[in-house]
Amino acid sequence: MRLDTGQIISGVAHTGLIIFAIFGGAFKSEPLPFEITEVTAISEEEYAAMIAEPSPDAVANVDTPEPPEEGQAPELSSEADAAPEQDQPEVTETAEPDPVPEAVEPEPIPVPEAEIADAPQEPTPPQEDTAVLAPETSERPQPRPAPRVAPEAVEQPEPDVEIADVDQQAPEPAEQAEEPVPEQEETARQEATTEIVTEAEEVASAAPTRSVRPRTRPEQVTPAAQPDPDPEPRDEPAQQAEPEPAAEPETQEATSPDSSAVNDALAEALGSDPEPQGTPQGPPLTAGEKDGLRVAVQECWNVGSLSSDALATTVTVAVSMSEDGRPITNSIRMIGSEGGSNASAQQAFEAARRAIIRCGASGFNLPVEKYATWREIEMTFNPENMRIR
Amino acid sequence: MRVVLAFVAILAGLAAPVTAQEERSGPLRIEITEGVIEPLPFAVPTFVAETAQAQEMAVNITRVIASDLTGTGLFREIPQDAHIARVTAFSSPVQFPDWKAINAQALIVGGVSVDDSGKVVVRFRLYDVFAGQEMGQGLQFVGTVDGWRRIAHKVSDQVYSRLTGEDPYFDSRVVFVSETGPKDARQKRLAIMDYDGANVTYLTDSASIVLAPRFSPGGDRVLYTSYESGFPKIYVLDVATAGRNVLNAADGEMSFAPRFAPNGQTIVYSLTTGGNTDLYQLNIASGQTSRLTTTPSIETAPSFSPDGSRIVFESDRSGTPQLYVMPASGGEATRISFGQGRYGTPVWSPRGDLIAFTKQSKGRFHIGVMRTDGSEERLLTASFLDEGPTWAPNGRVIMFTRETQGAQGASSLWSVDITGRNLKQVRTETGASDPSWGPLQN
Amino acid sequence: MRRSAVLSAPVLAALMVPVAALGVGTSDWIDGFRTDVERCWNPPEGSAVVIVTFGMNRDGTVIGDSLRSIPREMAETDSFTAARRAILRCGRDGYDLPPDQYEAWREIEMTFDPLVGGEQ
Repeated sequence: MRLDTGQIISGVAHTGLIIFAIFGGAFKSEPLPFEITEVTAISEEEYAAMIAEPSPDAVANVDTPEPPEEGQAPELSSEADAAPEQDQPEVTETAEPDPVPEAVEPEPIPVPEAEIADAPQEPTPPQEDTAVLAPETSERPQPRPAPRVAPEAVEQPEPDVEIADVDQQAPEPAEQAEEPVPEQEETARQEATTEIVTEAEEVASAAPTRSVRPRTRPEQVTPAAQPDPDPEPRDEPAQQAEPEPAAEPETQEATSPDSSAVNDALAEALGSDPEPQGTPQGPPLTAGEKDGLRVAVQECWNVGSLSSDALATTVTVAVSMSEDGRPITNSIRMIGSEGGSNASAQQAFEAARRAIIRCGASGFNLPVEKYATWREIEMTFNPENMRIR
Repeated sequence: MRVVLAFVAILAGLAAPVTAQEERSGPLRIEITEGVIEPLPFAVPTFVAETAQAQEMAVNITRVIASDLTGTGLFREIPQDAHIARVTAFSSPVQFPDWKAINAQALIVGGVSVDDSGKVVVRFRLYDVFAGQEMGQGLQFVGTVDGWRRIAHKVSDQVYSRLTGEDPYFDSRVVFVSETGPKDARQKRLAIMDYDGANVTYLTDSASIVLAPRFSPGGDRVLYTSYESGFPKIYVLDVATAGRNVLNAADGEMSFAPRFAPNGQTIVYSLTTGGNTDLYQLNIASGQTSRLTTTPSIETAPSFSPDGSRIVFESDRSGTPQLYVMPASGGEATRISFGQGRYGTPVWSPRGDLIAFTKQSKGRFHIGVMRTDGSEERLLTASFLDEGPTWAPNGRVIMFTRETQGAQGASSLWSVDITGRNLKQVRTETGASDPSWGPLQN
Repeated sequence: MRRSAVLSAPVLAALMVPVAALGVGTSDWIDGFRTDVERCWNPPEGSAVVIVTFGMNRDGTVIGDSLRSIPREMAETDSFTAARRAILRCGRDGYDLPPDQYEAWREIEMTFDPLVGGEQ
């Protein structure tokens, strides 16, 4: 038989591969000498026969194990759920959810050092075809994967330090405030990074394989760096029924954009007015104060468990605030949504509500003499920047 | 001056209501555009055993629920020894301050009862702790002792979807190839397990090599490739009975890479005949086949879009394996992969929005996803050998095979969220490869 | 008797660039490589086209672990086994490839296509 087993070996190369570019005849244009078996269309009878009786060969070989257990399909029945009795919502002035840091200057958060991925660095071929995206410059510090993604990067704490929501140094006796403070363990915020890093990116440090989310502004105005630091913890309302009349307005004055003589006078005059119902008014919130509120809410706005639908939904939430800077839980309501479905808006709203309640539990840092301006707040939660896919 | 001041003060006092209203006329508006991404802390105190026989099961069900949620990487369990409040009855009032104190943002309360006949009743409620209210409605599931895991998964599915908005996926199974023995003498058997690795059952013996099982859309059948005839050929196996049939029995031909169409009645697969490999379609009932591609290159690894209208597949017609999309009836194919490297084993997401694939480039293998037009390619993993992705029923999680290098190298199953987070191994008693994730069970 | 494959022209043109950049004598060692592997290749009757991908060490030996078939389901077929054997057997002492161009041949993709017919 003239079975000339010609052989062809061809290879295809990209950068790093080779092509064997050998020209010859057309690719398999000539008929093949051995029988071509066509795809057999199985007739209905044949197939039915096949299905009905498995070929003895097949059956013999198969060691039919016990059929997998098919648990009875759980039935779903929803009972008309009588809401369980609840204690009337009590004011949560008892145990604080988060331990409050001492009244010391918070230390600046250290920035993670530039990381070199630990994958073996192979010499990259001269023509690097990063087909998908442009490679990043090597100067940029490489984010490592971390359990938490937040606007500010937090370095990995010492292993024996407990993870809590707030940084807290172990109190040193010398710096104790007047009131005795209960012993608190040193805690640190959970290690956080500024963006999500997949395994593939971790490995291919030179040329990331996807576009990184736009980085958050690294110079995020943090509560620690507030232009007008408020050293007095504001979450002790019992001690601060009324704001210090003289001190506060003057402090605010320093940063108020429009400090005119009249306003000065007004503020002073009003500050000394002890009437509670005369809603103190003053200049509107400064950019710094607004930023402070925004950052405070962001810290608790956890979008990690939201679906992609919910991450495509912007919701506007209204909340009424009490004078001590706490949100009135029952007043939180969704007043608008954009993008996504009703269901995803609900999810997005719930995450927003949690953010407001959690981070507002001990009161937001808002000037009480401007209460009128922030008594009603509308927050728009726009997850555009948080979308991963 | 003083007079003036006073005057101003009085005026201000009088004007106070007016100006106050003006200033208060608009609420303070702020925009929140950055948040954090972190696992949501939840607490699930051990479900209350409502009958004496339910004690152990209540503990087990609670553990499965906690594992399901924690395993997604989206939730973090607050351990029971940190709980302040104790739940002693299903309907006792919830002490929200106690749960807030430990930062539990979601709370699951449940009860389990088991009667003498083996009937199991599980009920649960989900609370948003900081909002101080229930999320959704309490539900009750009825099942049998043998199916307790499925009931637990049903509860977690409810909690998961209410909290994330995603479709559920815990009550599902995965069919895969169980591997034992050294690398050059591997024994392979088809096996099926719960998505989390529990309840493994074997569907074939190890007499011959089996590959790439694929679940039917209804979860009742499995297509796979076997070498028992000496050539790779496609078989259909009935999951309930483990009975099976070969689909294409022609001699000298090789058929492989089969996949069901969403309607469960048609199969698309690769057939090598006359030395050439192309895509074909087979109607199971009628046995009718049709040829979908007629190129001299190798066409393989087809996968249907969830609406059944298109097929994505792997072809080396450009000179190197790339991904193409064509209408389900065949026809013009559009290339969708353009990066540097070789692309293969494409799988269309059940949500229809993404295609997962294997990519080999610069000596490494990756699992990746891209939009169905090929844009926004993202690689999720990188290793010596990752391949063969399969989608969870909700299109959010991908499972795949990872093989380690060397003569001792073994295969195992891994999963990753489509964000690239939460890469972890799915523990199996033996080596494992070629997973195929079945549908959500009803 | 040999036949050859032709790749479609536009693809070839695109791929020729890096090959051309490899320098003088490129086709020599490519031909040599092909010949070397062919010497050990004995495809059984009825073999099908199969692509084999593999990685190479700097000394010209094959990374045995890295041999893969495309389509992957053909990994157990005689076609692939024959191709794999050819690559490994003839490469036992390493293939004769220019070390200064390692980047060009560290990853290989070879198509084994048993054809019959007269020489072109």
